[in-house]
Amino acid sequence: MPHRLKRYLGMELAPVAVRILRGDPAPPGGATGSPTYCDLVLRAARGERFVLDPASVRRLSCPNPELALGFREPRFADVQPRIEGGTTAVVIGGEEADVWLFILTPAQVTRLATLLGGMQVSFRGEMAVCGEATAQVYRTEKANLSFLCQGCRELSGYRDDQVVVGLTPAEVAAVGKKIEEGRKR
Amino acid sequence: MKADRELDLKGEICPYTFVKSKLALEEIAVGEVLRVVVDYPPAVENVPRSMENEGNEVLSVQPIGPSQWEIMVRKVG
Repeated sequence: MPHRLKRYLGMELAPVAVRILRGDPAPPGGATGSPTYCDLVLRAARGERFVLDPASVRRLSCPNPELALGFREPRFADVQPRIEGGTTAVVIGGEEADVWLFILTPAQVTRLATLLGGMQVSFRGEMAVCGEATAQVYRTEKANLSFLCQGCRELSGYRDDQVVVGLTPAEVAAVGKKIEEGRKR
Repeated sequence: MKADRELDLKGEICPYTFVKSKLALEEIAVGEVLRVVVDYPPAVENVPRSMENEGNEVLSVQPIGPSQWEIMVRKVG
């Protein structure tokens, strides 16, 4: 279904499956080096797959995903949007998803919003791909749009004309069905 | 507690909060203390975390006003 949406929207990059594991042991092969979560999403959109476990998430060069994705609770001030603590691993890439991330142009978002019957979005330009596009969608089970943060724009190689939309698997399925029905008419 | 260097990051957001903190810490000697002031809620979480991840000692994190916090970090070798 996400790939049907990719074709319909004419996306340059593949949709990225993000799986949030809570309580289950982390799969082997934690991401190496010190990338950012946004980097890993962009690379997964080009076909790679990554596992973030508690050790690899601490090595990320941006510390926000550790909090936003629920690997730990805040200690000094509440920060939103975030998933409550208890995450054991996050798998970025592959086909199993709790949240699908779509790297889109604004024109593609226009078409997607029409298919969704409208979007009520919330963004602040901080904790963007990890918080706004992943954690918020996981928690609310509703699509959200992120215009990314300075870190994504300046450190992780996202272009100025790229934004990220997070969708639940149910929303992806519903949109895929609408596309299919439109073809039959 | 007296700081050897102060860094005012009010008005700064990620990633500049933790990037500038790391750069400031590189400029002080081992054992010296850096005082960082932030007013951006994610920074009060991510600056101490990134300092700890680099092996430094976070001595304290305290509110010093409405939406303002002071972070004291000792540079470890």
